[in-house]
Amino acid sequence: MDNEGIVSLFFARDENAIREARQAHGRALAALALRILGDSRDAEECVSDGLFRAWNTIPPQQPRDLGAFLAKIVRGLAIDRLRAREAQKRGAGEYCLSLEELSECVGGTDTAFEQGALTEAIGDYLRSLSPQARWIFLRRYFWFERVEDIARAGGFTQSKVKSTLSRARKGLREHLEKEGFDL
Amino acid sequence: MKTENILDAMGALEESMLMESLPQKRRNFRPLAAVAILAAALCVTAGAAYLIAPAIVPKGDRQMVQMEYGGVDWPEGKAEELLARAEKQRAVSKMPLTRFDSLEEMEADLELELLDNDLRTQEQCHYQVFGNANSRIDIFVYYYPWDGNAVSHDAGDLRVSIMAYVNPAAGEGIGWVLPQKKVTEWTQTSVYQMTHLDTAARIYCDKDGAQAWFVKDGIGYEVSCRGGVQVMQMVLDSFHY
Repeated sequence: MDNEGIVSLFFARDENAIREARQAHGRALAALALRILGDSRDAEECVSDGLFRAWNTIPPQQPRDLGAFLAKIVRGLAIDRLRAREAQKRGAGEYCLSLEELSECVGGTDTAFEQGALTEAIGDYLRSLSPQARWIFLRRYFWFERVEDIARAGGFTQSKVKSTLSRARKGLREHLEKEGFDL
Repeated sequence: MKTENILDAMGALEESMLMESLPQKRRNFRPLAAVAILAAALCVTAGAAYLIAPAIVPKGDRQMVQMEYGGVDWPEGKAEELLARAEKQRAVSKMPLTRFDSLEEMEADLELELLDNDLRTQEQCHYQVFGNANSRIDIFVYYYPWDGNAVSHDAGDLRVSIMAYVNPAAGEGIGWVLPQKKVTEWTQTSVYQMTHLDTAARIYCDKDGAQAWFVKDGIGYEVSCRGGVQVMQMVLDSFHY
């Protein structure tokens, strides 16, 4: 079933919506959660929680793309779950590696800012990138994919992916500073 | 601000933007049409060498390849023929192409590559640029590691050098690959022939692929070739190394 049909099931309050959504997107969502959590059972629970949350939010929300919509939910849930784990701050997994990489973009101190404004600034910055650089950046820092997997999927060498990410991180820092964020 | 804030903020990005990057979707970043033929010429160096060198060079006298095609006078129709073959090879290998907005950006990218491959010092890395005196063809040779006048050769690492012949004004070029131990001889010959530089094509090869950097009309481009090592091995085989 396509995304439009699945969303229609949500709107009709048909519980098949969850089954169809899991069938269509469950694998990608579980992979995303697994890259963050490093534990398949936790990842599966995150997917289930995410689908349940989607059930509670559609309607009134009407996602433009169900896959991306569910990914945002599951990604957030997985990160929350990871943070809840004690002594996991610098554990394994692509999430933690991503944190380390992005540390060059920020100072690491508690500063006041508006989360929505930060999202908007990051979105603006990503829109200014080439489609290729944006694709690589999102695959790494939204989907938490490994560099080698990104390289394989995009037809690049790993070193190219790394250098693209490095440039993008540097550019992001400059953009956020220009936008007045206290890094 | 903390790094977690960045990742959290990314979690709220517009779905339309995220849709572009869904993991189920594989992307094939195809070459820019405007420089496709130049990219092709650079990136299929291996294939071109395989195709042309044995045909035009007497066995045991491979330097003649450079002498003939690195000089001013290309045989009638030969450049067109080689470029057609190069384009065909490019279409097969589906090489992606990256465009840089500035030469500085391209230079930075090159430096990152070198660092990433543990080529950290000037002593280890060396490149030279040669230009043809009549500006018909400009040549750039990049190779590593560099050890004075000799290029060391690590047989276990399959490090080879690529030579490219580029004529940006005509939008054409061709090149090929040789083992480093032969590059030294080739370079010594070339130094006397080539005297100035207008435009550079930069070629760089690493273990997981072949990459080329070059400049056209003041804009830098990078080309990546998947499976470059395998292609190069084919060329080495063709030269009986």
